[in-house]
Amino acid sequence: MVKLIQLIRQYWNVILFVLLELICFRLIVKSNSMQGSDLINSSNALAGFFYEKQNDVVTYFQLRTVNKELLAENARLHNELSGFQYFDTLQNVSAKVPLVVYDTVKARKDSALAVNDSTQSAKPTIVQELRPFGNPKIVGYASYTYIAARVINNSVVNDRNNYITINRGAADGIRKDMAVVSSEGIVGRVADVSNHYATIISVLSSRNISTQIAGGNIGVTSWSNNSPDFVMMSQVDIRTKVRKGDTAYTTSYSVYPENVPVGTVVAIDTYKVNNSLNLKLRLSNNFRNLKYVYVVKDNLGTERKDLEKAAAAKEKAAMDAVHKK
Amino acid sequence: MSIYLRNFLRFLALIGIQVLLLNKLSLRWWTSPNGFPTFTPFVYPLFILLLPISTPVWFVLISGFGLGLTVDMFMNTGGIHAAACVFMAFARMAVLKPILPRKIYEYKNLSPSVKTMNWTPFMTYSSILLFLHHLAYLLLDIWSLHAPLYLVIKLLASLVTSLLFVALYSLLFSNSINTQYKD
Repeated sequence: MVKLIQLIRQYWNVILFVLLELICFRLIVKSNSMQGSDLINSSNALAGFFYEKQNDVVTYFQLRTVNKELLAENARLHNELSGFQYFDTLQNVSAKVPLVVYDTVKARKDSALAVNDSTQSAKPTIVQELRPFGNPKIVGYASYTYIAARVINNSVVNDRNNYITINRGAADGIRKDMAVVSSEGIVGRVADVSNHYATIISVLSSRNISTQIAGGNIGVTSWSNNSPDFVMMSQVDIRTKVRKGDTAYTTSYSVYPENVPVGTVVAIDTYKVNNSLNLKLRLSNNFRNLKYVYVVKDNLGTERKDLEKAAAAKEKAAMDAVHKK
Repeated sequence: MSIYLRNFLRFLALIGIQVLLLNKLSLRWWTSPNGFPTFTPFVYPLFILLLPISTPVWFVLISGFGLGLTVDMFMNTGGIHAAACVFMAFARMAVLKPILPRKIYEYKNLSPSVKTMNWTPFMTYSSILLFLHHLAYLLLDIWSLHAPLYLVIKLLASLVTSLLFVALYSLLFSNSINTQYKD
């Protein structure tokens, strides 16, 4: 026993070293798991506070470029809106306001009833006067809500996962796994949320995104070549006609809203082995220079997730039944 | 100023410099022009380098762990910096012993610095330990040997810039290094 204690005393430093390294490796493995949710991240109040104070100083010098970018985005949105002005926007609009149509038939019936009913005055209400086309009826709600946030910390230097910290958190309605886009293109998804800050795992990390090229050909995009400007889109069908300069967009299979730009094609490789194309994309976002982003709240996301989960469970049950037989 | 307060303030100052200034360097395009890997200079290991020579190893290990975890928290790197710092702290005595001319216990409350060691031994000491730190950090971050050239270029780029900042820090604070502390 004495010898054991002596041995421990003699190698105490080595034991401590090994112990601390083991704790570190445990933390590294935990932070790399898909669940995220590690204790040590910059969405906590302390780190967020310092980053926000630093950013308050720095943003001041960027106001001119921020203004320019916002103007450009505004012009683009105006252009898009003008295209929708005289068409049926019910099918593919995505906005915050409820979509409303006016039920003219019901309005006529209502007014007829009002005239017949002697107890009520025949005079139409102010609301009806204001809405000459009948009673409003909500057809559907837009499925996405956008929450604007300022980037207070950003990193492009890590080789596996890069994180962005923003100054909006759970108090502003941000939840884990929401998609994040900017005016230029995709940014990432929310990894950890505190009350007033959130960290985003950016596109520059080891997670795949489902993307499509013109004509609806789908591929998988991932960040692999360690440059903050490029991503690789793989598993594209070899018969796809692609040219340099074509733009890739997100699909509805991804966590992002559909048709958000990802990047433009700069190089095309053909892989005869598995009959596919590998496209090198230049990211449409400049990740060194992110200032403002939008967190996308998918209003139908939970419903979709639940449905997919239920379907998967049903499938699994059916498979189990087959195996039992 | 007591030696504890001095080291604590140095801890805060180095983390501030690292997190609020040096980490933003990689966001400038001119730090990594066309195809050159993005890199960051790390100046915060200077805290471990400048701990008093007679500090017990267990304390260096634990303070290295704390330092690494704090930086990890700011940089979202899980525990990679902590692992690299603990490794560097463990190697510190092995590097320090052959470089110093006298026995370790003869340096009471003195920090390894330009003043106590002169430029060449101090820069040798810091370059060896920073090399170990950067190597551990990059290996854990990249986690593959697919592209050894990429690793080497990134390592050299960050090591050279780190050493530049270490020398700069030593020059800036050499005035206070002059003064003797008795406690």
